[in-house]
Amino acid sequence: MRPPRVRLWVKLALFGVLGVAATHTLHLAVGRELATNALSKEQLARARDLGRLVAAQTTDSVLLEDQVALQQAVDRCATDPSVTWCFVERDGRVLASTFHEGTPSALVTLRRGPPAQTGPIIVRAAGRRYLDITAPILDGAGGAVRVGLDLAPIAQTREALGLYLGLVALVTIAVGVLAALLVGRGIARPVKELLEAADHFVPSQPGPLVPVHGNDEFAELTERFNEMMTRLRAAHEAHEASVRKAASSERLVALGSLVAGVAHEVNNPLAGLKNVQAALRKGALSPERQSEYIELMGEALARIESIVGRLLEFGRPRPLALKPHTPRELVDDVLRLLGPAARQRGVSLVRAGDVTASEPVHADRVQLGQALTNLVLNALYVTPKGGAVRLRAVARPGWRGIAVEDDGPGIPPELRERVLDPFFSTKPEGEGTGLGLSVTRTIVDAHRGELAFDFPSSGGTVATIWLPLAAAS
Amino acid sequence: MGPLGRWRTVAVHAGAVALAVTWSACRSPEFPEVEVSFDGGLVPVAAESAGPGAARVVVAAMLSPEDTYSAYAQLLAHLSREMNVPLSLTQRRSYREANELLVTGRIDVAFVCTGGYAELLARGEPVEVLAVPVARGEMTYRSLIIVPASSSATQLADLAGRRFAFTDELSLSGYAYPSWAVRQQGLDPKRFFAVSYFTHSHDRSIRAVAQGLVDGAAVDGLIFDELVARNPGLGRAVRVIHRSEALGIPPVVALKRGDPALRRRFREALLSLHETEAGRALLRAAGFERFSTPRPGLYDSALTIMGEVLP
Repeated sequence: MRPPRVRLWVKLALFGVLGVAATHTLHLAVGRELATNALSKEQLARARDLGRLVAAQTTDSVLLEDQVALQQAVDRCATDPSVTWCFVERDGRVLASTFHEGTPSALVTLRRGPPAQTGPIIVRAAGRRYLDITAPILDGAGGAVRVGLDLAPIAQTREALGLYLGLVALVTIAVGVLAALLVGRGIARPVKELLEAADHFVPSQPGPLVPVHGNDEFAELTERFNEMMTRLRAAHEAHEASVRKAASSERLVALGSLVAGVAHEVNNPLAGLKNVQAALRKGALSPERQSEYIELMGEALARIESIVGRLLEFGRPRPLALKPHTPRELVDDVLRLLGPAARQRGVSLVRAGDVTASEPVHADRVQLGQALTNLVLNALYVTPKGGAVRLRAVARPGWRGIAVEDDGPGIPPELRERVLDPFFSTKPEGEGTGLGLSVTRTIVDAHRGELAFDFPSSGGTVATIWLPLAAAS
Repeated sequence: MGPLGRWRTVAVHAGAVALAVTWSACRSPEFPEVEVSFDGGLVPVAAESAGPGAARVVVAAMLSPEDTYSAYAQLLAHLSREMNVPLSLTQRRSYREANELLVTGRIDVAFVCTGGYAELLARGEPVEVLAVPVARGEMTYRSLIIVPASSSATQLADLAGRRFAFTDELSLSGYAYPSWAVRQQGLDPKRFFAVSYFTHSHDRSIRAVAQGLVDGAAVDGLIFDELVARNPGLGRAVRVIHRSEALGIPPVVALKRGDPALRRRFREALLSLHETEAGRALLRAAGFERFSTPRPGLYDSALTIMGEVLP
């Protein structure tokens, strides 16, 4: 089963949205971390600088035991808003401190070893976090300055940054989605136009070309598509012209063969007539011979008349006089008409199978009789002496048929296609006009029937005329 | 591999890269975190105090506190080991404060300046010189008048109406001698200079001249030589235009009413300092060869000068 179709522009848009969203989520996370790390490092550097500065400032005061100057130095340090505490300790004693009530002993002893901690320490106290750094005075011999920085501003900045970056990311994602939709649509539109053009393309009819937008790959594709449509139309026109030409030449060929057939058929009696007429002109003929010749002339003329008559019949069928007839009636007509001829040729012409079917078909008794006659004559012609031609009534739903089966050699496969062509004949010249089956076909068509040929593997030919049941027609 | 598999591979790789980038970016500086209660005990601000049983030694601020510390902390530690007595080093901004500590009994031994010693004598305090350092074979030193190298001054008189740096009002070399020298020329030392400052240490005075902050200064010759030897650039930046006569070197003193055993042990420790390699190294660092007992009359000229200058 084909999976449900997802539009190209939807895929592109989804891809774009995913890309933008993923990139910005990453940017958000990484950027926020980088920024807050930079802030943390900055804060640490600031605390260290402050500590070093206070240590440098208080070295003399520590050595000179100048309590006032020491206190001034730590108080000055604490004027920085991010500084929560600043004190000077030496051997566990606090020499000056911003904790005016007394410095928490846990803080004073925080870095006591062994080994003594000299790196930055995060101090958690009363639910808040502080960065505690220490800066030695006289390499530790003069004690150390301790500075505590409140980390809450960093946390707040971090949150603010997250919010800000999040907003930026949202806006960017929204813009990205819009851009992806627009780009997706932009790509899908020419494809859609091409699809519509392909759907409505009829090679035999002139149609509009697909408009070309811009000069990108799609424009190129559209141009090629238009060129292809133009080529297809031209090819189709050429094909039509050649078909028309072929049809006309076919007609010419058919006309040629028709004329040739007629000429040939007429030529023999004409030659006879000419001879007889020459003999009569000499006048030295006995009256018996004279009357014989006149008789011959009549026969020849009758033959020509018959040829021309059949030709006319071929070209211009008469209107049908349709009446209900049972197949049995039609078969009997033929048996009566051709029984003598069959006996003369030593071939038995018989009814076969159940032809008692009483359901009538609409038929012009005379014309259909002629059609059947043609089939039976052909069958008699090919059936060797001692053989049989069988007339069989056949049936299929809505149809009744009369099959003419012969014991002849059948028709070679390469000729089967041509049996219905006018003037096609396998008989020696002078024995057939080649119009028989054509006429039969014309009559059957006029009855809205079907003419079918079967070639059983056992040999012979079965020609069947199918007619619709009278009730059905 | 189907198209889905390929996509999955791409997705996995992209995810791995993203994770790596995020991880490297997220690595915050890792500091130990400690929970601390501020509700526990409080440590009050305590003044500096020596440990129990320690003898306190004050060193007058001839050098800046930091330099004094680096020059004397190890010396005192060594003496403490030799004497088997804990010693603590104390400093004060002025010579007068150091003298006060000694006089009020809060200090046992003092490395005073010659001027400070003279002031103690002038006040009638029972001061005993425990030992005096010997530098370049002498128990004396000189006061130097220095000017910036670019200065046109060639004698003290050329500095009239200029900016001048004194060391301390009880300093012989840094205050009393130049004042006395000006007075010798019949001038009023209080009006001779346009502006004068007290820098409270000789090295600060020397630097002030080198940097052109003042037009001249009076400094301890021993300290000047020591500082210039360590920092030749400083020597090129200043010029000596006057040298005093030889004056008694700053002594190590104690009050006679103090613990006699401590005085004795301290003196012995100082006098025998040059007998060990470690002691000699410490003496060299301080610019001395050894400690000695003062010869009689060593401080006569100093006392004369101080007598004229002190109010």
